[in-house]
Amino acid sequence: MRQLTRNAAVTIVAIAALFWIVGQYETALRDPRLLDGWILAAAMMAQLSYHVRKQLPALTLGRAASWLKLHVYAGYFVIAAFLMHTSFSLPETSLEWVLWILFMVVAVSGIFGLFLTRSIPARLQHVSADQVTFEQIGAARARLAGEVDGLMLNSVKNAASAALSDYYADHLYGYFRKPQHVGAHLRGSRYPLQAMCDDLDRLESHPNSKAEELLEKLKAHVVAKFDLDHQYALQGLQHAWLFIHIPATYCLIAMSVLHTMVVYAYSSGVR
Amino acid sequence: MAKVQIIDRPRRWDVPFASRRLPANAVAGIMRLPAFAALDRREFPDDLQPQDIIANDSRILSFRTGDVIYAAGAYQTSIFIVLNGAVRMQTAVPAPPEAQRTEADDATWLRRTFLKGRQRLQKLEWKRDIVPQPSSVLAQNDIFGETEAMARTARQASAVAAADRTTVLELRWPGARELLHWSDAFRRRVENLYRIRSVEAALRQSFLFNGMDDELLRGIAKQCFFETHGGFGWTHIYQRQRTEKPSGDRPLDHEPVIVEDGQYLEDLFLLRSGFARLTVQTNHTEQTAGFLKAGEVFGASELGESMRTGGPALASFGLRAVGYADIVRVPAHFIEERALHAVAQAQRTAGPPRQRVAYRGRSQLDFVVDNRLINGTKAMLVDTTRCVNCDDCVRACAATHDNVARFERQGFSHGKFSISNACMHCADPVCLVDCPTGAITRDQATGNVLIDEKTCIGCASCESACPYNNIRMIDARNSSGQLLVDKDGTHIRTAAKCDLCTGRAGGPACVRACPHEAITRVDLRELQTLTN
Repeated sequence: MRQLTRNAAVTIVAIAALFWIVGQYETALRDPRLLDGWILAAAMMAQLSYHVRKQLPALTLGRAASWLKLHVYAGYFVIAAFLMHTSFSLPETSLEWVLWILFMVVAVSGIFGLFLTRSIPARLQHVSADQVTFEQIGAARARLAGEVDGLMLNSVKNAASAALSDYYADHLYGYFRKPQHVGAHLRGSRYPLQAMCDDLDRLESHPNSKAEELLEKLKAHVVAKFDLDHQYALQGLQHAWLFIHIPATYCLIAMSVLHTMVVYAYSSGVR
Repeated sequence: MAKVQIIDRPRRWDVPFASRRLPANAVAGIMRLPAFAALDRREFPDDLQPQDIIANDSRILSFRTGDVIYAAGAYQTSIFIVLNGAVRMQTAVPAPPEAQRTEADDATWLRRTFLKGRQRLQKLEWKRDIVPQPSSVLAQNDIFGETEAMARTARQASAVAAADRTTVLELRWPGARELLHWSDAFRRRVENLYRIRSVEAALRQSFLFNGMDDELLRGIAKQCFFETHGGFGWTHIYQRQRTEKPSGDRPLDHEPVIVEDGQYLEDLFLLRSGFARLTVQTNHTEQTAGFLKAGEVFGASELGESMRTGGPALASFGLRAVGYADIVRVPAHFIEERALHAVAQAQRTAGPPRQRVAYRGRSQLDFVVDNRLINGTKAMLVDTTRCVNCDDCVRACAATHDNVARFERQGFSHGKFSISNACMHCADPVCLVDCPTGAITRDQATGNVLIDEKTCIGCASCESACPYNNIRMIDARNSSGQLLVDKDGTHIRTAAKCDLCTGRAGGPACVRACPHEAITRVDLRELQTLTN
């Protein structure tokens, strides 16, 4: 908490200093957009340092955790610098609109990603104590599907319960083969699982011992698959936001370079 | 560039201990030493004759007066024999717990932060925390160093040359192990020394006997009993338990009882090596209450209380060997008033045992003891409420180790923690026991377990010995990244595991690469690690 307070205080002071310096620049009858534009460009380049650190894990460049903190707090500074550079108003030209949208995508995806990295691990841990790595979820799903197939084929041979076998063939066969209920998992809802278990319970009102055993095993597999889908959905989201944040960042940098060239191409000289 | 390099398949005798194999005349001379005179060549297999073992696995070292052969605290696994001159064994034991205030304890937070990097240096020096002990002098043909080599512990005494032109024969562990395995006479001789010296070392190491008169201590040592409970085969039982998971088979079923809970105590128990589980009987079931590690004492508080009140000494806990445990039993009537005083002090600092155990939490205890994780000194602990499965740790590990990650981000789970399949650098590393070439060793200063790829012959004995599946066999490559194959085109294999990025600045790459501070390397013998 002490570290959080310190980092937040430093960021606020830096933002206040930016506003004061740009204010002084404007008071001197100079174009403040040139100054805050270059500060914004420099800060955006500094943001890339975290990405560089991640690409060079073998070098002794300090702990990635420290770089991430710098990335996050410098990110807040960049947002403040951007708002100042745009004079807290919406863009007027199409190039500015592209830049504005790209910046918003990067900033919002970054903040959303930060929220995800803080919230998803605890959610995953809460529901699934035994976590499977994202790359191994497919194999775990296939293993589970194979086990259920074996279970149901045996049940047909033993004539345990025709109702359960039919329900499996009609409703659960596909369930065990692909990730399901992604939306529910992202919302944190366990309603689909409850519905499936209720359906299974209703199939056999007076089950014999074989059917009862089969039912319990099938339900255990249904729950295991639901937990696996939960991990798939949340871990997938953990990875997916980066597919927006990183490409948008590179587009933003490219457009920023173009923006700078246009500004200087049409400027009347340094003021 | 060719994708593979063809080499001769590495063999047992490829890398001798000395720069070259000892010459035949030197070996013949060594074989006539009293320590080896009883070696019977017929006891050895044809391809593992004792003269070959000595020629390949030993070296002759010369020292002048005052030269250190090895220092107390160093992790070193050779056995030595004095060939000429004399060697002084200078014992250094830790001071009593209340005297072990380190520089860091007294420092402000700023100084503590600064001191973090110096902890290793302090550990090596530990000058402030040692109590000088009387030294003994070894003469020609005496064996030394066998106690720590067999117990796989750090050296408890410094060996210093006591005469000019002192020469010693150093026999590295793989050679010593073969001689111990095949020769009954050599084994009896070394084991006898091991038992006698272990008792003395255990007494000296225990703060209960700190500063005791040397004669008196040797007198007590003669009356003590040395016992081994359990056996080294525990790793295979444990591996079987993990893979087969037979129903109703509890870890406790494989742990020999040393003391029953509530049993009348006549002896003090000093744990020399291995681990022991403390148990209590609750509601007709035996539950884990704690554990003891090498150097710790059982029964001191009960005997101390008994001496104070005159009542019977009844064990507050049961004691079981976790895997194996070497125990020194000190008969109670040899414990004098001074030791009793130390017990009382220890009780004051630690609090009553039951209270201490309750504070630490039982499920964590069960987790670390049942899974034998108490062996880990630098286990990779992942906080799963912080880990985002980004695999940056795996990538960092691969980037620092020729593109082959040395761990798997899966393993034991308990609550919000996961112990990954990364070498834990065990307090008692069983992986190095059977290495035929000595490729797997411990760093002398830190005790980290390391594999020398140049000496490894890819026999996989360490892989099968590691109870935690933390060693993998991988395809060997040369410095240019080419795969190594033998003349038949078969890939050369080598053992690989986490080396804590030894030799690289900044510590383990996995810890440095984690953006969310989810990974720490921890000593699982310190239960507060998990509690915190």
